[in-house]
Amino acid sequence: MSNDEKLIELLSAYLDDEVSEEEAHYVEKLLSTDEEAAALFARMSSTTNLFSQLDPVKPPVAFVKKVTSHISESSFNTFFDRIKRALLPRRIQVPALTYAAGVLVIGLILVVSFITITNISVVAPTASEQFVFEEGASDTTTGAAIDKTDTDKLPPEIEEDFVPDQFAGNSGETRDQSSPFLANEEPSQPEETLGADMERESEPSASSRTPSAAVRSFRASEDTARFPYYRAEILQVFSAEDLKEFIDGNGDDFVVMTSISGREINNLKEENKKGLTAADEDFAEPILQPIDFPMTYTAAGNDSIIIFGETIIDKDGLIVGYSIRGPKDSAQVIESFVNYYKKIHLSKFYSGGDPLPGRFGFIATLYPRDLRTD
Amino acid sequence: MKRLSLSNDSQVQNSVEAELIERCLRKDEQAFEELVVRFQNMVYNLSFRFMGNSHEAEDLSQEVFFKVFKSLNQFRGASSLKTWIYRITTNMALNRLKFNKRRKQDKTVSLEKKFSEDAPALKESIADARPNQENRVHGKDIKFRLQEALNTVSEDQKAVIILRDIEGLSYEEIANALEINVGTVKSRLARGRLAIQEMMKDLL
Repeated sequence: MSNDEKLIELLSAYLDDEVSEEEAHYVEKLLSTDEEAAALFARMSSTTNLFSQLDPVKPPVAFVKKVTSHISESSFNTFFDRIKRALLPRRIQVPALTYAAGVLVIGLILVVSFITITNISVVAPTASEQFVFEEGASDTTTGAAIDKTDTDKLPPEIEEDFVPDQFAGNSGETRDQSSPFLANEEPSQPEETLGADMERESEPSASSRTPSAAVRSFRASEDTARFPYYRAEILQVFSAEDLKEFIDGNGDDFVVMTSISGREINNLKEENKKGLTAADEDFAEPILQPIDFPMTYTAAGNDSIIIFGETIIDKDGLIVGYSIRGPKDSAQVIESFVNYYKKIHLSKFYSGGDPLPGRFGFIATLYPRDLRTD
Repeated sequence: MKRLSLSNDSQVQNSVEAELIERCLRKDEQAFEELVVRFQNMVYNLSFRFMGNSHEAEDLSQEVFFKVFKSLNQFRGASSLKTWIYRITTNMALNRLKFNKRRKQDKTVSLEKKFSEDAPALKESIADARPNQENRVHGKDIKFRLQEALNTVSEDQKAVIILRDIEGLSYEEIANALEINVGTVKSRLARGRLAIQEMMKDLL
């Protein structure tokens, strides 16, 4: 530390009366003999006095009520409930009790499905069932790309870092995980590359050609299914690192997440619309055009969920890998989305310009949509 | 300049605090409301000074109380409740500033930059600090200039300046709130003040 810095530090501390007696004597003597030091001290004093002109800012009138009601609600709700309340439009929010009832029903249906699966023999798929599998990317456990593309031309770190996600299999069962997310820690084919997954997809396995009980159930109740389609709306696209920070950090980060308000999301949307371009490394411009995708399962419930996604786009704009996380109890909705998502081209998500290769994170909402009434 | 003395809280105040905490831990909603009422001005003001606009200040303040509520069982009473809340607010504000920076949402602009229609949040932040006539100096608003100057210094310096020159905490309390030593407080404060002084020199 230079003498100047020491002096400035000493004067600053003297100004705050945070010096020892000895230091105080020294400074007082200095100020009476050194004009330069005295001028510096006077300017510093004037600067700090300026801050006294900043009036205290008071919170909005309803602040206490807002905070306390938010906290009392959160005491009884899950992390995802809170995110959902903060992020989703009001029209698709449901009361907590309804949500809880929905989860209960889904659980019940899953149990029934499981029992059914263990009892029903395998039958050959019908044409319509095959369509479902083709559209929905036959092997739902791979979590990788559909088309064989230039994955070998991707930056090596992308391929190395990326771990394809794992979802519940075609059986429609939800994996038992302690994480609130559908985590991807235990891929069933950890050693295989994305390319291998792609090749496998061109040669569907016996299990992938065989419709699950849940799919058969969907076909059987096709006419009466309440929500054959779901809608995905990408709320925000950002760098994979930011996504990681959002969801993989310590528990405190969750609090940050929960506080993202509808207003903030709207602001983000507005900003995104205003033209952050593809040249921007951190913030690509998403189309906020919603994407409708077919539900593979009838037992998916009718609630809205939030998912966190990470996706790898190759230079041609094709999705060559992804990892999507969401609430455990909505595995079937997520799987249906994934089936559809990995088939579509990046240009569906980005307006104009060339597709932006790389690795991205996004937050999306998935919510039921009845096309018959829209 | 106002000056708070957090470390010398009376025993009465401590016992009131202890009771309040205990009631909060029992999930007594009334108690938590009392806690929010008691600290809302402090938290909001601090949040506003860090974030520079009312929207983010409100969001941050809500997060802070949420965090306080969640972490209250970890409060061991080594410092006063107020200092502890200062620490939470400061840490969360710094995290948020860093995050905003990475998202390139930092709305800081130079004073010369004109405010376009494309910067509603910035305009709003200015509106928040919009001056009274008497506070204008040569057509410039001291409050706005100060807030802008604060936004320009490093986050570490900003934290100590806010806690010292706006909130009036002692060096020891700042050190406690930021979990740094008093020497670091001194040096950050001196450098920060010098930087602010440089930016405000036409007013001094």
